[in-house]
Amino acid sequence: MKIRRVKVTTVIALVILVIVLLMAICPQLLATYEPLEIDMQHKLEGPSAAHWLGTDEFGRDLWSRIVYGARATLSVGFGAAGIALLLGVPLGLIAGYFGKTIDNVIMRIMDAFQSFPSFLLAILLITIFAPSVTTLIFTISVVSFPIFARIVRGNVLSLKNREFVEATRAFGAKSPYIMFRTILPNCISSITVEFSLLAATAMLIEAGMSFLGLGIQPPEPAWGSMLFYANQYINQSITYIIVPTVTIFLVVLSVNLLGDAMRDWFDPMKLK
Amino acid sequence: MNLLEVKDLETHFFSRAGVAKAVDKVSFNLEKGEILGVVGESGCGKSVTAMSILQLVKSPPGKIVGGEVLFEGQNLLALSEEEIEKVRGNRISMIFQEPMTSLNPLFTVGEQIMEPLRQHRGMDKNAAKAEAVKLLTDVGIPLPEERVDEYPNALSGGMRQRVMIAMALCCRPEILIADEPTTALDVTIQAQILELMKDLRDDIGTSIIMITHDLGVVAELCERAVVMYCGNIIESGAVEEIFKHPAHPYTQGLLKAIPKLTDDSNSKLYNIRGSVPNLMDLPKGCKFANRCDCCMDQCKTSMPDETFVSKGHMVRCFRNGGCENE
Repeated sequence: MKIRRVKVTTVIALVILVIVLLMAICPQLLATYEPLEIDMQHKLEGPSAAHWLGTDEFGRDLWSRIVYGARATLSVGFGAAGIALLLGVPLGLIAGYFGKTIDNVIMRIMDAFQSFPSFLLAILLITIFAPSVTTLIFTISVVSFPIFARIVRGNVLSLKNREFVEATRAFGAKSPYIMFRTILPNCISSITVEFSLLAATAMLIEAGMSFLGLGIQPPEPAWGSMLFYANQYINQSITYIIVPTVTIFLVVLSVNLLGDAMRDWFDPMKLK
Repeated sequence: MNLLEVKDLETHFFSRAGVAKAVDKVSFNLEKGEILGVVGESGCGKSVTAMSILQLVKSPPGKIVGGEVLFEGQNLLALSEEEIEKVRGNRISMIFQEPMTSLNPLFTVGEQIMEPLRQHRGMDKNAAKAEAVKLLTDVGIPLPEERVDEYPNALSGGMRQRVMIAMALCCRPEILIADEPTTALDVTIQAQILELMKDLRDDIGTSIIMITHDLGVVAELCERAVVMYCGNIIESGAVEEIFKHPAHPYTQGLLKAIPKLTDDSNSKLYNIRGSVPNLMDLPKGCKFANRCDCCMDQCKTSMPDETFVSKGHMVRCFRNGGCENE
């Protein structure tokens, strides 16, 4: 039988992501308080039985705010990476496979997109379209889809000269078949890794934007904006800033670990 | 009746450094049920000739600039991409030199054999799978029901080449082009694969174009052979005739270079002096002139035409086989 060995880190990453996914889907099940419930008597408290992770400057429960903030962060992370993938992969595939003029035209457009400093372009777009989750997803995918195009194109260029692609053509396969069924599956490992990296980066950009006040707007809970406000109370409560920082760290790490695990998973050479 | 007629085929490669005439006016015929050997050293144009037949030459830099490939009277070079796709793998199949890399690593052997079956023969999934198992049995793979679900990395080189042959034969093509199919395999496996190809020719009547640089393979498998040098066919004829009475100094050199068991083990092995001229900068006359032991003045200025030294035995040499020095 074919058995695949799964690493412990993969399991931990998977558990963390499942919890975060649950937070995003049904926060009311996991939260212990309303995320917007103000309780000035207990502001900036450390962890306690009542407030597991402590409270913020308005006495709001940090655990519940983390739980309710997951949806925004996850939507931005996976939404942006997903859209970037859907835009970038076909472009890279077409550019690499057909080459010549088509390749030149597509890749010069990608160059144009990438020549903007991405953070500044993001700020510009957000200023034009008012900050919200949708704007963030749109912005991050626009600044990052050329990365997908470039990676896939590079893969295609090396793959299309491989013998098995030539053999497939010699057996009468048509171009779309060769592109999508022969070449694309062989790019999957790079695409998965890039997707996980990009999802993680997008979460970080979301946090950064929220930190700058350009992301999710208060009082709606989001990990990045929590970080921003916690920053001002760093002298009064150390747990306040540690909680969102560690959350972002753990989720980004899990996404990256899972990306690596998926790459191995797709590789038949690893079948034992 | 010739099944395939290649006439004055010319394939050139264009690069900044110049034009390389990889195939320069090559003509040969293939009869039904025949095994034809195409022999020559690396870079002489054997593979490009084969690729040109199915329009598989990469463009750029390669381009078929002239000639005809008549397959049952139809010029394959004039077909559109869509039309030639119906010929590839269906009526003319090809197998390649490197069985280790000729299979897609991400799909099982079965999935890969089923694909041409479904495309060319319109089979549904179950029928194609059953046929795939049958084909694997035909090419001598043990436990075909299990192997059909294996990924290529679980198979050895010889097994993979058998899988390639199964794929190539799945539509019972009229012609099988084998581009050095045994070069990457060890000698015992090589013998098995050659035997398999011979059996398949006998069973389904496929004509085979066997491209190789191994004269032993030609002697064992082929009925007729063409010898290529620098993009030209310099000698062709029945295998026995070529081995017994090689007419071109190059063919003679190749045969002399094979070590024999009876040779004195202290004597130096024979080699053809010099090396292949640069394809971008070919000499004006006979391309072999600078390496030939019986080169004459006219060899340096003009390329000899085809002459027949006996029935069906063609040579392109001014000496017409009269160069038997030493």
